[in-house]
Amino acid sequence: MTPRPLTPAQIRHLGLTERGPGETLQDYLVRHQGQMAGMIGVFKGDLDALYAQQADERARHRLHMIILANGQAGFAMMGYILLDWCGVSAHATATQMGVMIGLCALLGAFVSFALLAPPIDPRAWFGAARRQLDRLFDWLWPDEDGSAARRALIEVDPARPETIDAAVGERAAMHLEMDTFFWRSRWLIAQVMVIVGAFSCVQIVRGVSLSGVIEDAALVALACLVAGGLFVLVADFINVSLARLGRWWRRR
Amino acid sequence: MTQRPASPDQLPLRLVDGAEDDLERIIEARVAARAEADALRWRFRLVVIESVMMGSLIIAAGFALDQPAGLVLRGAGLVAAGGFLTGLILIALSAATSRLLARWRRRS
Repeated sequence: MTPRPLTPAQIRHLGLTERGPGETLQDYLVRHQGQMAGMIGVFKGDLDALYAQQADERARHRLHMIILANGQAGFAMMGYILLDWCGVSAHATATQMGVMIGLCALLGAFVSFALLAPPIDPRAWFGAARRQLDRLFDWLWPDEDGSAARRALIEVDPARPETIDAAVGERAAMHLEMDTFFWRSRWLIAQVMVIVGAFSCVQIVRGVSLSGVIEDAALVALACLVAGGLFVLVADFINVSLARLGRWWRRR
Repeated sequence: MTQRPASPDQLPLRLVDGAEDDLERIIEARVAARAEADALRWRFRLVVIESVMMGSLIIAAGFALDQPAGLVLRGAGLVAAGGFLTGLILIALSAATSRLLARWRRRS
């Protein structure tokens, strides 16, 4: 798990090394040097924590980009297949087809945005609305003391162990959502490579020319990536939704 | 590298003085343990969902194309079983790969 960077209160503790009563200058300097060495270690740890946090943010950003790209490509492909199946593509002009496929891709983008945060828990909608209202009120009437506590996703009360359990569950689930998605995406690429490799071998055995094999392999790879990506996306959405539903049900 | 022993007069370098930070650390440790324990369950669930989806897709396509029910169901079962088996292989392979990588990193 990623370490957490220092809080401002912790940083304030790093400030001053006072000379103790009756302490000689030599002892004070030696002690001060020891504390300096400790501080360097602490700052190194703080830097590592910041790097880890940044890497986590980058991973989440990558996840969103992959979902967005897959959603758009998949919806555009399915839109074209649907138009062809309905017989529209035979009569429509290229511009009309382009516009319709573009609209499908746009729909895919909207659906992807919706998939990024599936609101399964009805209380989550109210919670989100309440947080938006809180932000508005904070902006209109700033309140330094109350805003942080109100904005907390899960408020942890040390006196109530169930709130700690809930916070642990939420954070672990957030981590697992990302971890499982990237695990499956990595293996999708491996699967596509195996499929393309096997397909190319069969084509070569059949006596297809090298340029033909490369052309077909590229098409197969693209189709597998887009279709498989969409498939994985939907499966991941169901998986995450089931997990959220389960947590919500247990918490009831 | 040798390290000087701390002087008994040395004041402790207290970076964490609040109970809130201790609690935060406890929560982080529990989150790490929970995530590690649940990773396999999450992956397994994803594989099961994918297998069911593949089977359902075959059934839907078979009935949409007016294929015989027995043939469609057998095909769906085969595809779902194949998907489930390959998913299990993926889980095992990824576990083996991560162990190998961990051993490699420890050695280097």
